[in-house]
Amino acid sequence: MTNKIKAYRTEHGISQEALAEAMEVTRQTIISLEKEKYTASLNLAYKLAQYFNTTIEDIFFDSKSDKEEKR
Amino acid sequence: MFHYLFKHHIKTDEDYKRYHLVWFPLTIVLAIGFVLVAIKGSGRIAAIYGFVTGITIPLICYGIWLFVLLTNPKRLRAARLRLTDERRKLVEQVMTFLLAVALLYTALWKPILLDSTPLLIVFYLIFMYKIFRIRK
Repeated sequence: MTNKIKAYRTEHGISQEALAEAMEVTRQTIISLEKEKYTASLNLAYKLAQYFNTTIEDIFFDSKSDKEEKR
Repeated sequence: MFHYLFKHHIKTDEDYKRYHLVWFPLTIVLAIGFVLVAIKGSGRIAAIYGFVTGITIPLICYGIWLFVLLTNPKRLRAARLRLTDERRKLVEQVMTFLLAVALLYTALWKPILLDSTPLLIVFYLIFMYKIFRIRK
């Protein structure tokens, strides 16, 4: 599972600390999410989508199926 | 009151505060209860004295930590996020599973004995890393 959290975060000009605070998780979780070492729960994914005013599918997507679609 | 015994009920900082305000006196009551039962049961004062000393120091530390936490909203929030963080919950589940496997292995086959020296080194390394991170 790939995500665009870092891109959205930099676009909104907020720090990892601020995002973690808004999402009610630790900064380590945001770091892990951005490094794609951890996949967010549905609840957290929903919160992120709401925070960035977008959809879950826009932030999280399966890189494999994306490649297959391009083929 | 019993609602705050379980951490999955913690949703806000106020819930977290109540969770500790329930658990702190409960821990003290449990410790006193254990000592009373041990005195009545065995009567080995020396062993009980050792237990009392061993449990009092962590309880005092817990009390001081709790006081600092309850008087500082920023620290309270950070501690609450650490406890309820979903990634940490996952790590906790893995650690609990490993502990259960180790306990089962010890109970069914042979005890797992660990050399204290490498563990002490690991402990000091973690301690140094924590200090390094705080200074940073």
